Amino acid sequence: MITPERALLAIRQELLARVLPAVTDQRARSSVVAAAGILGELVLQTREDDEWAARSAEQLETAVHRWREAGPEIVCTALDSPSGTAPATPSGRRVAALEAVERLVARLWQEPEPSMELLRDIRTVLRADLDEQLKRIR
Amino acid sequence: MGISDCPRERIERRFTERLDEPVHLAHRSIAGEGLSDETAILDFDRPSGEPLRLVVRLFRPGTVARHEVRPERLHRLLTTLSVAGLPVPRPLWFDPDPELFGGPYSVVSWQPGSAVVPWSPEGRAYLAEAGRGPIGDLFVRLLADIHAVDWRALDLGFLGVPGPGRGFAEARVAELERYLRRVRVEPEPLLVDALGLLRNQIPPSARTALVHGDYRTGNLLFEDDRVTAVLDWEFAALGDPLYDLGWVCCPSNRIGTELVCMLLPEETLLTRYERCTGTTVNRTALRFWVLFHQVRHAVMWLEAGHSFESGATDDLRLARMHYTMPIMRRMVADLLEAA
Repeated sequence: MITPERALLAIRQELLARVLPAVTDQRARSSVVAAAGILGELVLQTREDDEWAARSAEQLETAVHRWREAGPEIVCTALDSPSGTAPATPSGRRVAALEAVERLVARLWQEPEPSMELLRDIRTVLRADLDEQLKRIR
Repeated sequence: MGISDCPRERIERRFTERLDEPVHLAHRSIAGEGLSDETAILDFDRPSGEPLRLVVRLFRPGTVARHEVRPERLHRLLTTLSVAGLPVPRPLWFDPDPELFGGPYSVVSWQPGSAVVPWSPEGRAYLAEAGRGPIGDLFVRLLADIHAVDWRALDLGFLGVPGPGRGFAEARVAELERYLRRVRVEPEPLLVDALGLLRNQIPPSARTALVHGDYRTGNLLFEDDRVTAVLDWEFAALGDPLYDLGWVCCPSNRIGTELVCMLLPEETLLTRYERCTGTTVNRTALRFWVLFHQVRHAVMWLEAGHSFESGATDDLRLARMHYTMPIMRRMVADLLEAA
């Protein structure tokens, strides 16, 4: 993941190293310098917002639980975490749930006749996670 | 070091040697808007007074899908195609030595015409209008011409002859799976699902042809009602012609419009292609290649973010691709739902 700090510093660097030398209008140059300065301050004040990840993790974990309860052994085996430890952060929980879903999807496609019903259900759950991702971008 | 900051004297010395006539660098400008390589237009003065305009492409590591690119192979291909009657830039030389520009580079003749950025408002408006005229026909006919190239007669086997039947598609899917494993940072269950579907539905190739690999309106040069050049052949291969059609019809190439490559309705494209080639496009196989390319495009986006995150590049455009990755996933999800 690209952290907000990394992105802001890269934008600041680009403004100073690539954009500013190409700008000749003095007013525009002062705007670029001001923007770079503001970005430098924002680096100190910006943190990753993982509230969305908590919502998404909960939805994914609920679905994983449901599939494990109802599923045959291959489903349960695929959903078991190899590490066996539960992450503490919302982002970590979401990633762990997605890893479980990915293992399940990969396992289903190894079957001679993959369960399309389960794959469709999985896609619906993943779509909800995707909707959360999409809400965060313009 | 790059083309723009290489000392003029060094360029003149090297180009004088290569061109076998004394040339003086009068002007240089960076032309490449691409994500991968640096492309520059160099204008030279010659003793004859006749100006010389050349295009230099500097190949850079650390960007996207570099594993598919072989600069020397690209030069060899263009050399062959330029004498085969296809509108491609005429290659002059390839230099693998990084001493001059900091990486291997190729030099081709400058071609008249303008490139269009298909997803810009101006590009989109231009292409929608152009598609209703001769360019709408030319776009299809040129693709058919590429697929009609007699690759055996032209000795293009160096591109790699795929196995028969499902060999080409199987190899491509396997390569895409490896690509995803190499660049992924987080789990990608949607992409794994799509790859599972692709693996499950591999179509046989009806024939083996030269495929461009990145055929789209953004890789053509336009002048009036003509297409003056087909550019960016670095993904060219021998394979299923539907590989190109799948990319042309891919959602990534029609964002915000129903027109494929912002140019033509899909059925119009396919009907014209069938007329030009005398073949029937297998719609089921086409859907396979559309999904393949959408997944491949998404994996390229992942690689872009990975390159930026790891510090391999500071190109903000690659960072931007990372942030828009959910849109890529949505396009894959839409295709999966429609499958």
